[in-house]
Amino acid sequence: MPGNVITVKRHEKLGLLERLYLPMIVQGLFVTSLHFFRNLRGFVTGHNRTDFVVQYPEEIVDHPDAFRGMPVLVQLDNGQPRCVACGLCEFACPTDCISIVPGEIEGARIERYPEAFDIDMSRCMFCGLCEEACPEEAIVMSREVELAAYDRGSLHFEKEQLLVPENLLKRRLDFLRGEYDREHEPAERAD
Amino acid sequence: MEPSQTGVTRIAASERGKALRSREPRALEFLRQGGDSFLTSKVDAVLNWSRKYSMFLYPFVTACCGMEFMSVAGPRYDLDRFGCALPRFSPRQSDLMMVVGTITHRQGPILRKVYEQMAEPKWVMAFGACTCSGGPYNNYATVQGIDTIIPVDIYIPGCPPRPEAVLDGVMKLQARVQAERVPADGRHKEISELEMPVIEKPVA
Repeated sequence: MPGNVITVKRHEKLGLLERLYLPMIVQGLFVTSLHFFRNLRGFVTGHNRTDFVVQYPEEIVDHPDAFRGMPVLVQLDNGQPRCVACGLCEFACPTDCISIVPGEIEGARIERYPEAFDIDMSRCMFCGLCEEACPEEAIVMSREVELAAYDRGSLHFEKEQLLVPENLLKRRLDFLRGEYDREHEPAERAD
Repeated sequence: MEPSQTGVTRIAASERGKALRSREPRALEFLRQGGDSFLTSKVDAVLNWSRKYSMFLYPFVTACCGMEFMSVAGPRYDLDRFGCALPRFSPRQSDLMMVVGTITHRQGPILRKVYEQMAEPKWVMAFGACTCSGGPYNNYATVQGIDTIIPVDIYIPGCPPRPEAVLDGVMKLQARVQAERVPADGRHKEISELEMPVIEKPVA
């Protein structure tokens, strides 16, 4: 028959150590134990971390600038939201989870403000279309995602719960300006 | 594998922003209001401790949230660290039913049947926007919130929820389990007597 014949030595007869299963089991466990104790030492001392786990409550991952968490209303220094209740975010929302009741301030430079601004966070899909639609940089996606609740009512957020001071949202606002190539900040509200 | 090679930058808990914590008291208040008159005892504390740290999951996975469930159960955000390691694909052997993904009206009776087959004590987690309220699917085919079919203990919104959100939900569920007390008359409630949560504001 043509072709090369290769003879393979088969180690079929087990040695003494192999017939006693326990030493082989220990040898197999050695690798696992090595990783276990290495990770344990890394976790306890904090140095030479070689494991992959993010120990969630004690440490969190620093998500990128583009990370979309819960939508929030930007709060100006006077405590009012920057929102002018135009309703563009409400219209843009694919799940219809935003409800706005516009109100009017007589005689102010910017007359409209949201009397009520509700977001049903149990429906929100965190898509960011509201932030994209907003002409005033008034609603932005924050980095908050830990929204678990014991009842559905807690997931219905009203205006007071959505207000976040502007200085805490700087990272997101800077990202948005770079993203949409905006060269100037929106006009300041006089009131 | 060095942590930097995985692309993860870890932040210590002390640097986290506190401005968005204002809604937490609302959740805790709900828990503090409680319900029946309770018989507090050390036995309850020990039993609840053992229940909360060894939850056997029934992952009722139907849709995209299942991908996020897999990543929570994976090595990076490890559910095993919270005791919820082993999925038992039989309702008889599980404690926590995680309803993961959209439930349609066709699936509703199946979900109810599986829930009724679980043995007490049992808890339900609504994982994802579709199970909390129907999510983006406000139509004739989707159940608008599984709490219209079965009682839910913890709602985790998100589409899909980040693993951090799920783990936060698991920790809050553990707090709820720890707070459980046997009712004064000592009788466990039948399924038909369980009150469904009342939704005060009909939301769109």
